[in-house]
Amino acid sequence: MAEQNGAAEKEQISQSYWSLVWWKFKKSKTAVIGGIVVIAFYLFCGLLAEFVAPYTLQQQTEYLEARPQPIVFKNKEGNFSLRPAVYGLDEEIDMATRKRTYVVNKENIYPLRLFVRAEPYKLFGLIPMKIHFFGVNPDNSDAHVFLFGTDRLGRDIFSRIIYGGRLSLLVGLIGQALTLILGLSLGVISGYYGGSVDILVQRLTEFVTAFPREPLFMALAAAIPPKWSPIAVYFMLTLILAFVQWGGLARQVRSLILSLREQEYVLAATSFGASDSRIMFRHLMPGTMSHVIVILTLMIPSMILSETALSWLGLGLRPPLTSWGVLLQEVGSVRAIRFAPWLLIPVPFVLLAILSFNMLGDGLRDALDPYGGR
Amino acid sequence: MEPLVEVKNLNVEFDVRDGIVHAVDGVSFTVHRGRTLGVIGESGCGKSITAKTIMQMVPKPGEITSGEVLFHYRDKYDPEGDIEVINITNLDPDGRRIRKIRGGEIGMIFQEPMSSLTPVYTSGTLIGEALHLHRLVPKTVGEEMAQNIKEYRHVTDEEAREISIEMLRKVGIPKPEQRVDSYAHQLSGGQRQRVMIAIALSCRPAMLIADEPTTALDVSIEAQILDLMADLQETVDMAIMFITHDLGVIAEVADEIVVMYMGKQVETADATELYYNPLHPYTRALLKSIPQIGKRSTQRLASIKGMVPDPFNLPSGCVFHPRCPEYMPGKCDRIVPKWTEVEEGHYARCLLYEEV
Repeated sequence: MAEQNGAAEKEQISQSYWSLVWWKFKKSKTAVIGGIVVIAFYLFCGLLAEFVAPYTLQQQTEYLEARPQPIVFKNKEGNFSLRPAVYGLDEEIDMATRKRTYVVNKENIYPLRLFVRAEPYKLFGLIPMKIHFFGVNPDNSDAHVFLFGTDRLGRDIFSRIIYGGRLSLLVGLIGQALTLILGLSLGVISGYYGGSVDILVQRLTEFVTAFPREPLFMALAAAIPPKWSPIAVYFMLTLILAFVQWGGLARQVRSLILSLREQEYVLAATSFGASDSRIMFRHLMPGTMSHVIVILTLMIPSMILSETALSWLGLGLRPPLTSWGVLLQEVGSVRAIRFAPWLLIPVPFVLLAILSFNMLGDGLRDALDPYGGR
Repeated sequence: MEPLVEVKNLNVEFDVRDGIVHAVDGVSFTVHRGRTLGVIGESGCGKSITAKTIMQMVPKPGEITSGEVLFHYRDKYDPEGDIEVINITNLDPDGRRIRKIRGGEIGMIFQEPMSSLTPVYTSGTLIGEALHLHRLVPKTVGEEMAQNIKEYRHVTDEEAREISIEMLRKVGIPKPEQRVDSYAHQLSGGQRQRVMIAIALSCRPAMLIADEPTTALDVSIEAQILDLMADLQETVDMAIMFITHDLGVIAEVADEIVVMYMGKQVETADATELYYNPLHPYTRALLKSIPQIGKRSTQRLASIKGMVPDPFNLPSGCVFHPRCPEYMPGKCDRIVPKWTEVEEGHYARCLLYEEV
């Protein structure tokens, strides 16, 4: 009995696989930072975009292609103040180029406030709200805040980046979910049955992987009927991205299953009457999960990049849907870069998102092998 | 004695790159209800393949070329019902019918308890899985009616959990209420084998195939597991087919013994008869090679001379003749011995007992 008690205590001390994973993950600083940034992106862009953005997506102001307003820590009298503020902009016509420009008017200073009441929206598409995270005094109709400037239609770019992130990042998630279903099930089936099924699935993955990506994207994206609603186009696009991506996952899962299926527990499961599908999806598939999680995390960036590239080429999402790619599409001309370089600001956001995904994925890859070296 | 599984002239061949291997070559035996059949032989002699053939689980590229495995099926929920003879070799290996027999009628436990449990599930989940597949409980419509209505339904999750705990208690696992939520890595080797036995027995099979169940365990655990199996056999009236290469173990558990060599059945007899009166030279040599307590340590342990032949180039005539101490030149290397009943219920495949 004493021995059993000892065993029970020992069990509480011995750590589970996932607690070891968490412990090792925490040790890697880059991975933790990557993870936090990724979570922040999904939280602020995905869930709370309406709340975080000071303007709504299509809200137009009379400031067209206004430059970004710098944040200053000054009050009306020009003295230092802790409350950040922005200077107002005055419209001027440059008589030489006949172009409208905006100059900073230091007379008008608009202090920034937290939790201001502005345009009404629906949080999560359900809860009607008016409060935005920050903004300027809503009673003063002249007051405005464009942290990253405005576009040709006078829409706040900061708000649009936040909203655009939602679609761009969700492409990654929805696409990966489809990739997961397709790649995992085909990989498991191919690895478990082997033989002609394996050959068929492998040739199919090779065909899909060997196909040059961009032309395939373009051909498939061009095949989307132009009459479809933007939302339908969006889902079609994620479907296309997933269709091109699943090959790699299927191959890795297959090779894992090839080794797992030789385990004695597969024989044991067969001997107590489990069907093939039960063995494949209940006994074998969970064993591949740690690998699959890493592969999926590392594949999300390429999905986001593909969406951005396709939308930038005009083959992906179309306005009024807004993604980072759609935002960048507006900078497709020399004129835009020459006169409104702030339209390029989505780029660092794309970079940041992809970098942090890669950092998270690398950290996960190391952490999910907690018994490994290093 | 009522036959449960009859294996008749079974042949299993493996068509591999280097040629055809006759893994099982003309094996016949009968497992009786509630009795224990022991199968012994050295590694690679076809014991495990025979067992897997009974479950229609021959690994690729193996193929049953001839012979039959007859299973005398009796509905366990209707003990008075008729016995239906099913030829297992004719069933589709992935079909619904054989999946009902696997686990439901014939349970199996394996050599490696370390890797026989799926690592991602608790022992309760694994037992529950088998229960959901096979175990039925009577439908209770009303108190009086329940007696007359012979309808059954599958177990619910709560019932499965209760039965799991009950099974774990039966196989002697301490604190079954806690162990039911343990993963394989939290159990010791003996406990894992007990969980395997619990899974195999949870659906009340008519027969249990134990494929070297104690090889990976140390001797004290081995004794416990053997006792456990004997106890359970008594309480649930279950046949056991016990495969091993440990002659001491088989002497303890088996009622009848089949000796195999290179895929061929060389001798079959009652356990005591076989140990006291071995007929085939191979069986004799095997029995001589058991180390004995009390023998003078200066004596060398007897061994069978020669090597196990290459399965692709089996010797002509009797496959054992190159190693046989009673080799009769001109006879054993020419004539293939037949399966003969030398004494009543004692069969051997040897030219010593044939008129040639």
